[in-house]
Amino acid sequence: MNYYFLLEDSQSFIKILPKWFEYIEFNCTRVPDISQIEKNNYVLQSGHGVTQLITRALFDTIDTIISNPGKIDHLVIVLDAESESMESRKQQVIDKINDKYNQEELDFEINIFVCNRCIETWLLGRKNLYPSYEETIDTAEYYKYFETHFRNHYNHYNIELNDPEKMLQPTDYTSPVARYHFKYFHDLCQYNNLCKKEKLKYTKSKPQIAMDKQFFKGLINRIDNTEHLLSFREFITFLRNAT
Amino acid sequence: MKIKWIEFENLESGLKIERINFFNDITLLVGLSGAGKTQILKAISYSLSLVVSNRVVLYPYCVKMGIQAGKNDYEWSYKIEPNKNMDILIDEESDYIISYEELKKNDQFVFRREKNNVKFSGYNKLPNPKKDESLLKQYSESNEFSDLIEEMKKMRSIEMDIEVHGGIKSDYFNIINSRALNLLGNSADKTDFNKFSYLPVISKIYIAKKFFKELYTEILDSIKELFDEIEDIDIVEDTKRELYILSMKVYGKTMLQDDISSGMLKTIYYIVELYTMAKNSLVLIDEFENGLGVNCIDMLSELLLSERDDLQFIITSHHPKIINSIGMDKWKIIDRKTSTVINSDYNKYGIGNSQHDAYFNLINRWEFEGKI
Repeated sequence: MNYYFLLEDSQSFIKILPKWFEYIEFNCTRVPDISQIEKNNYVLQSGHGVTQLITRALFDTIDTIISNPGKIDHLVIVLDAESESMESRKQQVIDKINDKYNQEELDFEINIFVCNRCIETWLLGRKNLYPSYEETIDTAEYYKYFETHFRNHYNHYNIELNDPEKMLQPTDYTSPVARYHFKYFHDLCQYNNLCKKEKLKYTKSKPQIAMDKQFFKGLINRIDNTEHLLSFREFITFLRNAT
Repeated sequence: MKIKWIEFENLESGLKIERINFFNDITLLVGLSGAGKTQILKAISYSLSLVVSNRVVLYPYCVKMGIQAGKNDYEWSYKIEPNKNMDILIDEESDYIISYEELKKNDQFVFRREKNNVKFSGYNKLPNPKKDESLLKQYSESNEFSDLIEEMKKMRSIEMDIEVHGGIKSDYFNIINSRALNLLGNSADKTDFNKFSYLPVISKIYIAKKFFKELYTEILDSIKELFDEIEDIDIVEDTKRELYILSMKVYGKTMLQDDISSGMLKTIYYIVELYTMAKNSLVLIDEFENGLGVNCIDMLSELLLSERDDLQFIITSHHPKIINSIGMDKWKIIDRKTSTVINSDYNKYGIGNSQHDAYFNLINRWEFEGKI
């Protein structure tokens, strides 16, 4: 089977995903573009925040697949829900595709996955990053870092016990919820980094910690043992069935 | 003049630029920051300055370039090395000398110099050359390659910042003006603006407005297309600072150069240059998009591509808009392999195999290769 992955996230997910493919034993080899697709290959691209995914990159990608018949079996699109609901985002894409193309033209499967809020929401699924109760007491060794970097988030929502996908932003936070999820995750990593618990800085351009095998295993544990991260589970289920 | 190709080596730092070929009309150098795009432009402008400028400081470079002047193809190479025989009694000795230089015209030997030894086709013996000057400069009057020299003078490296923020000193401006008047007075052919094409933009606007009304109207119309609020452009004297500067009439009010946005000024300068540059000039622009708003980029890219098809442009850019508006077939993708600056055409680089826009292709290719 040959796959064409088109991601909305401009920086981090495109770096993370090839590693996750390895860990989940998704046995396809990456090629740079459709001209090099042969057997059990995949192409992985994103608009990089410059080319708008819906509709430019999407239509260009579908046109590319149509003009290379027989090469691609699955077009997999991964978008962020951001402030909308998963269903409505998915439907947006389906509608745009149906408006432009006839069913007959599309002789490949189109699978759409929506990150419910954004990639950092999924990453928040990793357990054991969240400060324990002892760390929040003022006599704790790294209490000062807890105060400066994580206190506000701690007061707001507990992602260890609760589903990160259901977290809303605080009422006084004026930016969109996806941005808050990024900030939460970024600050959580920073706190852990400063406590020297793990070497864990996270930025969109350097998402190294999310590429780590243990980290990925931690996320898989979360979906295997709880009802959390529904959108992540959907995506992983698809990949598991593909291998 | 057309630059066909160049090779470069900095003998001291070890930086090498492998041979890069240029297109006759426009070459867009794309690449990540630090790849070497600016170095390529500098290698060209330095080499040409050795021939057309006075008192150029010598650096230990080794260069080979192919230049087309009119119907002739020239191949010029030179090597600059440390001056080993420096005589401490002579004041003005340079640290470096041109130790090697060669010129071929249409594959035929014209001259070669090795240290003090000069062989010049058609001449038995020549006096020792100046060690710190190119033979092309020393013999610039000779018939064998006068077309080359004439053409080499037509390089315009557009360095906007200095020009745009300053004005022209009044006495300098007045000298240019009186010389221009002389030229115009003597010449029966008033329609040739070419003689003024090397002047600063402010002088060119002044001369065009006074003596070349049609050209001035063309320029103003182009400017108005982009900034329709501009009614007129003039050159006025700031008597306090003794400078001649640009002034504009906008909605009936006068705005002086210092009040005009630098992006707007830069665009106006570009437009003036594009219309008044001498025929067959070479134009080098580094980071074309700097300081320009998206409205200006659109219009200037179009002008660049359509208005003057006699000019040769070699430009660098990071901007998706520019990268997308100049087709992949005119790209040279610049990369660095240790200390060598390498270049590829888009197909050799492996892009262009899909329906996506050029920039999408390029940036995803870089991501695939782990470069970003």
